[in-house]
Amino acid sequence: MNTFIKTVYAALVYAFLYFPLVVMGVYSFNASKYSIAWKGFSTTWYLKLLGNTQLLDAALHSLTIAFFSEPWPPLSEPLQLWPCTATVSPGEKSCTDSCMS
Amino acid sequence: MANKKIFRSFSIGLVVCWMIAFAVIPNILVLTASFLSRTDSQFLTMPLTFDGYDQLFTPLIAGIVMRSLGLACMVTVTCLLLGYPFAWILARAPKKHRHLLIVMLIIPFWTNSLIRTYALIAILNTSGLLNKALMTMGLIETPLRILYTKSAVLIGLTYTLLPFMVLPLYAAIEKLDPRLREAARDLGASRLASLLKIELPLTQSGIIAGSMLVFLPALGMFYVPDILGGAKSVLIGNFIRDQFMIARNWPFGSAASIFLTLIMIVMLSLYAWRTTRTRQGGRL
Amino acid sequence: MTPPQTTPPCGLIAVQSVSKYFGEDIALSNLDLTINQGEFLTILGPSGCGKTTLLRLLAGFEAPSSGRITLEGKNILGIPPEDRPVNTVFQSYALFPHMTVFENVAFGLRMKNTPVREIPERVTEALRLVKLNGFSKRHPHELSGGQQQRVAIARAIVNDPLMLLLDEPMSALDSRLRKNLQMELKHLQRKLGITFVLVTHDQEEAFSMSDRIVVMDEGELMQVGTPREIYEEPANMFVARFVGEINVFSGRVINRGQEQLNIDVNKTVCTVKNKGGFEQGQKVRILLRPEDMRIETVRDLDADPELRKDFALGGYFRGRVDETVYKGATYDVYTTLASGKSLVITEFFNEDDEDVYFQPGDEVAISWVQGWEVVLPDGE
Repeated sequence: MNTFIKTVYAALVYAFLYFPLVVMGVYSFNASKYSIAWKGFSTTWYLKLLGNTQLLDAALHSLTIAFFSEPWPPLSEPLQLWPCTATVSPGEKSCTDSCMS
Repeated sequence: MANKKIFRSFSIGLVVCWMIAFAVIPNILVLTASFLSRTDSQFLTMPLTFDGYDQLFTPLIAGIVMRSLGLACMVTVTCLLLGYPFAWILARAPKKHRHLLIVMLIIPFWTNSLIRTYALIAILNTSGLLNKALMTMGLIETPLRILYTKSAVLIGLTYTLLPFMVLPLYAAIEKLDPRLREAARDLGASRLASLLKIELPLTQSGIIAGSMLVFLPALGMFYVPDILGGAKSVLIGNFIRDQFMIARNWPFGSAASIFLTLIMIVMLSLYAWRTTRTRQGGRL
Repeated sequence: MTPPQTTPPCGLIAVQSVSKYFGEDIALSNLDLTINQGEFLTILGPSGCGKTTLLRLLAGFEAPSSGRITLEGKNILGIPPEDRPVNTVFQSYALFPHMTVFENVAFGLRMKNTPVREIPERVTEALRLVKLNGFSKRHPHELSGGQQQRVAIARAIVNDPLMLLLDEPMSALDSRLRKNLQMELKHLQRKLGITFVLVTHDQEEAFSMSDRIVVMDEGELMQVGTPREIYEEPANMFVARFVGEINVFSGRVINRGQEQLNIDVNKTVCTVKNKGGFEQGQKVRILLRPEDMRIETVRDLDADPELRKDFALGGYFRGRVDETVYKGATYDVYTTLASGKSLVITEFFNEDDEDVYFQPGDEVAISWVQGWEVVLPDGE
């Protein structure tokens, strides 16, 4: 088999796997809040992250759960989503809402 | 000597307790729940009933089950078609590159699959990166509607489960003696004949293992269809989740869970039967 | 250098100026070789000499970097292994583990679309030839090493190839099994008339089976000839040393006569047959196999003047016995000469005297059978 074809194929598969990660990484610096359009480089979101205690708490929860959960991640996802079903009072934002804002 | 025994008993005991506490007991709870009733104020209550299972045998559920099985099959086939050549390339790569290539395969897996799935939204959206790229290249004129269709779910599941297919395949292909392909060619086999008659049968164990590791999760995953498929896409996983979280019909949800578990048990039994049979038939 | 070859009666394969490189590595260097129809040819050499590479070129798994190979006059460059009328028996046998013995042997026939009704007959015949009748239904992992090897052979010969290539087929077997198989392989080859090309590093194996031997080292042909030619008339030092034991004497030609050469070896004058090609004053090496040498105790020579005269004809050396090693049919005498040189002499048991005659410490005189020596130029 042609080494060139092999390399191209492997590269494409790796690109497929990594592209969403790259996209996420790049867009975490996007100044725009809602649209895909690039509005300029910005680290506001990271600053907001550090200031958001609710998110940080949730992150800690996730870490704790991951530490104790079964070795098979797909089965542990339900456990991770469990906190988001907790009833919230009208004023509080639930954690999924926080993620979206 | 005695220390070894104590250590061994302790380790096994610990794992067994764990399994009982977090695997066996929850399953028993779900099984019990499936036979209970519900009221407006309580999730689960007596009396025991078959209501949960009754609600299961409707055309609606049958449709959901068929769709889920169909989708899981498509995901498995896609992963197999994409993954087999890839695993082959990995297994036949020069030794010094191999470990690096495998680590590179697993790294995306370390990131949260939930986040990666959200990233797919940005890519598959009508104004997303994929459509933008295709339009700038002039391949299409109007953006493709991928997001919130079955295709998006297929792409998302394939994306998440591909490493599960590649790794067992890689293991099986690596064990394959390259001399066998040469022997086949020497005896007159074309590349295709060699693939069909020698290489595929001998990597069968990898194919079956990889397929199991993709098919079963594909049946049960609900967050990928949730995020990428929109409200329209109702599969077994979503359905069960909805019963527990939204409709608060726990007996029904439990019954559906048990049903899903039964499907998985059947699949795994077939797998076990198949692998013991082939192991007796000749070293594979 | 192209060593002299016997004129082939009927060349099947011609290897012409073939070289093979793997990057910087020179595997084969400008080889010229003719393989004759119906012969049993062995390629003999140490690990890494290129013998397996040559085999793979013949099979079609590699292509030469330069030069060409023809089969029955036609260039086979670019013809893949599956289209060549050549079959290989691999070193590791490479039997298909998921198929029965029958299926393994039938594989080649099926690939060539042989009519289905012919297959059982031909497979059974092939298995019979390798003495494995009754093993059809077994799987490779149920067979011993020797049996697996026979299946590999059957799988190859069932296709009636023009040439059979064997890559160190017996390296994994114990010596008794090996000897049996060697004989069987030779008989099989004679019976089938197929050209066999075998690759090995085992000199004894090469000698017991081959019509001709090709000795290789570091990608070059060292010598091509019958086993006898290789052993008794080595063309160079490598062949002399690689095949069997050898004693080497360095010296200089003193004078050159019609029939004889006088060579000065460390002040001893040796008279050898003049087979041509040497100049006066040239540095040469005299090669003698252990069994070509003669040894007598000084005691015996002193006692028998006739023996002494006969012994001293061509020249002789004085030395002392270090030890004797019993080998069963023969015994080896290790001696050291006055000059410090060590020699090995092989003696057969004398029917008159069954005991090992020479004792450590004996003063001895060493000579050789006139005409059995080989003289080579000392170019190294």
